[in-house]
Amino acid sequence: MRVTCPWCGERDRREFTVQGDETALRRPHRDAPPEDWHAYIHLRDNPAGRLREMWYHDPCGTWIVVERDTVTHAVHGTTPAREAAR
Amino acid sequence: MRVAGKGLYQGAPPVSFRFDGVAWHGVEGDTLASALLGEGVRLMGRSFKYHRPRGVLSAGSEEPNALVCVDGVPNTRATMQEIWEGMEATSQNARPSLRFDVLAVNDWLAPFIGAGFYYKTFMWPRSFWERVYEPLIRRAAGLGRLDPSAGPLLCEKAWAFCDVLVIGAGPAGLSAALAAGRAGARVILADEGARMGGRLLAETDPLDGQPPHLWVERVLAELVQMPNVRLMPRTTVTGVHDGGTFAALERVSLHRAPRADLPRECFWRIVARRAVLCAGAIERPLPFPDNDRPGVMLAGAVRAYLNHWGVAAGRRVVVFGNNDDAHRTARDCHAAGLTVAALVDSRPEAAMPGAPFPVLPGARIAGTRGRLGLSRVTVEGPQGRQEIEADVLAVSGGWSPSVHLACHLGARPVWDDRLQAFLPPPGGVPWMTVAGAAAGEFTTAGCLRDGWRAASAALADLGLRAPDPDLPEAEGQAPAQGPFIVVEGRRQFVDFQNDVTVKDIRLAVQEGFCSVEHMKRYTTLGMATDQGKTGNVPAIAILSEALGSPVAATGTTTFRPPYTPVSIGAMGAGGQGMGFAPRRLTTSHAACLDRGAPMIEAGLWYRPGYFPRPGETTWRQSCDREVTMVRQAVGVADVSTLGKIDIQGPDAAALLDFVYCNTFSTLPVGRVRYGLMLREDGHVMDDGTTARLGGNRYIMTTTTAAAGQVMRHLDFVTQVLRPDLDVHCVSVTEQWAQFSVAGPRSRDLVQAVVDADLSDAAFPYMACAEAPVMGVPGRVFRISFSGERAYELAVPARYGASLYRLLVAYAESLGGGPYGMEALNVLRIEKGYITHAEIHGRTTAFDIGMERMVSKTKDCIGWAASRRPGLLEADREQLVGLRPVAQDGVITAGAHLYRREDPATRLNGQGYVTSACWSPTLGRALGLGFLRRGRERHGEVVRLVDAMRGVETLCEVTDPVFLDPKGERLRG
Amino acid sequence: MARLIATSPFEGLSLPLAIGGARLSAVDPGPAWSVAPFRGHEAAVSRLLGGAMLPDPGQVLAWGEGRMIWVAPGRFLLAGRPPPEGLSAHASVVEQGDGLAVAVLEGSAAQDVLARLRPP
Repeated sequence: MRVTCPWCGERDRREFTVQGDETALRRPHRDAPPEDWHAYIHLRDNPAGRLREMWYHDPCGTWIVVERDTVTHAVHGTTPAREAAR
Repeated sequence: MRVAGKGLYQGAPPVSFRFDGVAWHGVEGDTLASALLGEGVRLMGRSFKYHRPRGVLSAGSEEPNALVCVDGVPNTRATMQEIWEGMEATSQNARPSLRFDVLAVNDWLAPFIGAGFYYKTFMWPRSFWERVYEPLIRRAAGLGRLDPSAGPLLCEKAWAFCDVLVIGAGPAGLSAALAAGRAGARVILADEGARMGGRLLAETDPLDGQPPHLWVERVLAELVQMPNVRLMPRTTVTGVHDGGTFAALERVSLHRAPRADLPRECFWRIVARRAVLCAGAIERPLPFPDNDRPGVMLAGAVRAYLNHWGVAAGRRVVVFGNNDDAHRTARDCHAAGLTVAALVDSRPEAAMPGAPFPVLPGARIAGTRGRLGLSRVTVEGPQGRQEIEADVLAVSGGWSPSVHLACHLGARPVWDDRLQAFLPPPGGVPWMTVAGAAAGEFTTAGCLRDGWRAASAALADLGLRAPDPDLPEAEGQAPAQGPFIVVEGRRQFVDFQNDVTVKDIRLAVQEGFCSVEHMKRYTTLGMATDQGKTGNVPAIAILSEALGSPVAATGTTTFRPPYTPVSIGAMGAGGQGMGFAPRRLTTSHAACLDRGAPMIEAGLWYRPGYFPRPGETTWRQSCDREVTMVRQAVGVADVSTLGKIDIQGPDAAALLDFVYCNTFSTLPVGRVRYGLMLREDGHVMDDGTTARLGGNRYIMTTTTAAAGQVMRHLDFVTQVLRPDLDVHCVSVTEQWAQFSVAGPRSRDLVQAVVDADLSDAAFPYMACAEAPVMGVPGRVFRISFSGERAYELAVPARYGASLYRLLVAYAESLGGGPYGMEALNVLRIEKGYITHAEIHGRTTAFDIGMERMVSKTKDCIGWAASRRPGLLEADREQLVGLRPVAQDGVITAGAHLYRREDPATRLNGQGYVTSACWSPTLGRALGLGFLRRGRERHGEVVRLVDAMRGVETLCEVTDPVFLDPKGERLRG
Repeated sequence: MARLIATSPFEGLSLPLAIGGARLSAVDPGPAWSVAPFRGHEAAVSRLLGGAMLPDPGQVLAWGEGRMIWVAPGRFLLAGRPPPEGLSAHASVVEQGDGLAVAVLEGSAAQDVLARLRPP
C-alpha cells in the first residue's frame, strides 16, 4: 500500500503508524458534557467505503489525515493534520 | 524418447540425475519432466486419494500430477524443476514404490470414498474419532512429506520499482516490453519460465518466416542491452495487491545444486506504476473414462516437449480435441517422424484436407487401457467403435485465459460464449491491462499487436511517447473452438490432483451444494496445490449443465494470491533468529558482554540481566548481591534506553501542563519533577521525569517501552490539538548515553567525575544541571529509581562506552560495581515504585494512589474522562504491597488475591499481583498488586493463589513502599 | 586524570566491508543540530545564518562548509558547522550528531543491496 506524505512524497505504508479515525481531531472542551467525551473517546463509525484516518509518517514526524476506501483500498488523498484541524 | 534434430537444447551439456534411486540422463535446459520423458519414463506419481498411477499432464506450472520431492522440498512440479548434475528426486504418495503402491487399494474402494464421504462416515463409535480415525486420516492425507531434519530453506526478500511491469514473456509480453523499453520507461519483464518466450518456444509457426525462437532471441538481446529494462526469468508474479504492489517469487538457485552463498528463492515486492498482464492461457483437458493414465497429456504440452525440448512423449500418438488447435499437435508429431495413429475430433464438421494420418470427425475417446502407462484407446464415432494402440493421447478441450491476477482485487471474470472462455474483467485492476491470450486473443499476430497496444496505453498514462510498432509477420488464423463435451462413463477425472470426477460434481448438485463455491468445498475441486488451473473451467461447465443454467450464471470461485505456491520461508525470509527484529544496543553493551552478563530483551533493546561474579551459579545469587551492593555501597546501571525528549519554546511549560496530569509550569530551573501522563480515556499512559534545564528548555524522559508512543503523542498534541503552542519536541534518546549511579556512596563517585558543586546544599534531591562530565559537556540529574541517594549522568553517546567502564571501575574501588535489570527491579519493588507492570493500561492515577497529582484546575489529556465516577469508585482495585506471612512464602506475578476464608473462584477474586521479587534487604518475598479497596485494608491477611504454578500463600496487605517510607535515604 | 574516549556507532562491525560489487564504509557525520525556528522567528534565524534560505522539503542546502538538511516541516538539520551564537533565542536547537550513524554504500551492487533492505 502506498501513501503520499505531503512533504516526503509517495511512500510504502511501512513508514507510517496508523492511529484511527480523524474524530481525534475534534477534542471537546474540558467541561463539555460526558456524552461528548464518550463519543470522542469511544464511538466510531465503521463505514464500508470512504473514511478519514489519522496517520503518522515516522521519518518526518508529521501527522496527516488519509482519506481511503475500506472496500476498494484506494487511497484518495492525504492532508496535513494541521490543516485538517482548522 | 529424444527426437534427433528437434528442440532448443541440441548439443547441450549432459546432466545426470536420479529419480527414485534410478540414474537417468538429460541435458542442460531439461526439466525433470522433459528429461524423464526423454528417457521413456511415463510413470511419475500416484494420485492423492485413489493412488492411481499418473504421468505428467502438462509442460508448465499448471501441472497437477507429476509432483515430486527434490532436495527435501515436497510437491515440486517436475515440469518446472530444471535438472542439475547429481540432483536427487523422489516420487510422492506411493509405498513401497511407484510401480507397486499398497494404497492403490483405494482405487477399488472408490465407490465408497467419493466426494464428501468423510461427512457421512467416521462418526461411530465416538471414542474412535480422536484415537483411531484422526491419526489414520492424518497419516493418509496430504501429499508430500516435509523432512523435519532439513534446515530452513535459505531465502531472501527484496523490493523493486518500475514504471511498467510486464507479466509474462510470450509474444504479447515481449512485444509490450519492447515497446515500453524503447520508450525509455523503467521496465521489469517477469516470466515464470527458465527461458523467456512463452508459447513461441513450443510452436513451429514461423515469425518473419523464421523459427519463432529466433525472434525471441533477437528481442531478448535488445532488451538485455537497455539499462532501463530488467529481465526476471524464473520469476512468477504471484499476486496483485493494493497500490500497484505486486508479489513475485524468483527461483534464484532452485535449478542448481544448493550453494551456501546463494538463496534458493527470493520473494519480491514490486511497486509498478502500470502493469501489462500477458500471462497467456492454460489448456484444459476433456473428461472421458480413464482420462488420467500416464501418457494422457495436454495437446499443447505434447507440442512443447517436442518443439522446445526435442522430446517425444511416445511413439504412437492419438490426438483428441474439440478445436483446431489440437490439429497442430498431430501435424507437428507427424512432421517429426512420429506415428500419428488418429486425430479424433468431437466436432462432426472437423476436417483436415490432405492429412497424412487418419482423421475421425464427430468421434470421441470412450476409454483407455494401460494401468502403469497408456497402451490403447477406445474411439467411438459415426463409424462405430474401434481400439487404437497408442502410448500418447494428446487431449485438448480448448484454452482458458489466465485471468487470475486480473481478479486478485475481487473482480470476477466474464464468460464469453463465442470464445468459450472466461475473460478478464475490465478495470479489475485499475493500473493493469491484459493483453494476448490472457485477454482472449488466440492468434500469434494478434498477441504481438495486443502487447504493443497495451504497452502504448500504459506509456500514454505515464506521459511517455510509444514508439512505432515493430512486429514480425506471424500467423493470424484464430483456431475454431467447438463446445465442451463430457464423454459419459466412469472415472472421468476433472481435478487430477484432488481426484475429483464428473460423478463427484453431479453428486454435489444432487446433495444441494449447487453454488460453485459450495461445489468446490464439497468436492475439494480446485483446492489442491494447482488450485484447479486445468480443472476449474471444465468443472464449471459440468456444474452448469447439471444445474441446467448457463455458464455465465454459474460463474467462477474467488481468485486469491498466490498464483502458484509460495514457501513460507520465502515470505518470511530474513526474519529468522537475529534477523527477526533490529537490535538496539546501548553504549555499555560490549562492557556487559565482557563481564559475562546475560543480555535480556526489553522491546528491541538488549539490557544486562545481572553480572555474575566468580562463584555465583544462579541469577538469584548475583541479583541478591547487586541489590545489597547498591543499598550499602554504590551501583552503576545503564539507563540510556529510556526515552528522552528535548522540549524547547516559549510555550514549553504550557505543553507539559497539557500532557502531564500534574503541573510543570511551576517547576523551577534546575529541578526535576515526576510526571504522570494520562490517555484521553483517563487511564495512565506512561510516567517519567521532566527536568527544566533552562528558561524554556526541558528534557522529558519516558519509559523504555513507551518512548516512540509518547513522541508520536507529543507530535499529535503540538500539530493537531494545540497548534497554538509555540514549542518544538525532538527525540534525543540516542543522543545521550545515560547512567544511574545509586547508593550511599554515589555522591563520592559522581563528584569525582562531574565538574560542579554536588553538595546536598547546592544539589538537593530532584536537582538537575548541565555540567562537564570528565571534561565533555554533560548533564546530571539527582533522581532515584532505587530509593537510595542516586544520580543520573548523561554524556553524548560517543563517550558512553568509555564513561561506563570508568564509572564501573570507580564503583568497584568504592566497594560497589555494575548492577543489572534483575537488581534494578528488586530495588524498585522494595520502594514501591511502579513500572508498566502496574500501569498496564487499565489503571488510573486513583488506582495507583496518585489521584492528588491530577490537577483540578487545568485541562490536560485525560482530565475529563478521569473524573468519570466509575474511575473514582472506592471499590476499585488499588495499589498495595504484599508480604508473605511466613518468611519463606512465595509470591508470583499474575497470582490472584482472595479473602482468606473465600474459595479461590473467579467470583471471589479481589485483585491480582503485578510484580514480585525476593528481597535480600528484607529477607522475604515481596509483591506489588491491586486489591479492592486496598488502601483501607493494610494489615489484613489475604490469600494469594497462583493456580498455574501451584502456589498458595497467605500475605499481609501493606503500603507499597516497604523501605524507608519517609525517603530519608533518598534525600541524604 | 583519565579522559573519555569517543567510540563510533560502528565499533566492532569491521567496516569498511567489501563483498562482490558493494562496499560499505563508515563516515563520521561530525556534529549536527536540529534547528526549528520559533513562531515568527524564521527571518531572525535566516539572518543569523548569514541570510541563508531555509531548506524546502527534501532539500539539502550548503551553508559555508556545512549543510542544512530538511527533516520535517519547520525543522532542519544543521550539519558540519556549529550553530551561530544566539540562535537558541530564536529556535529550538538540539544536538543530534551522536544519535546519527552514517555509512556510505557504493559500487555496482549498491542498489541491489538496498533493494533487500527497504521498500522503494
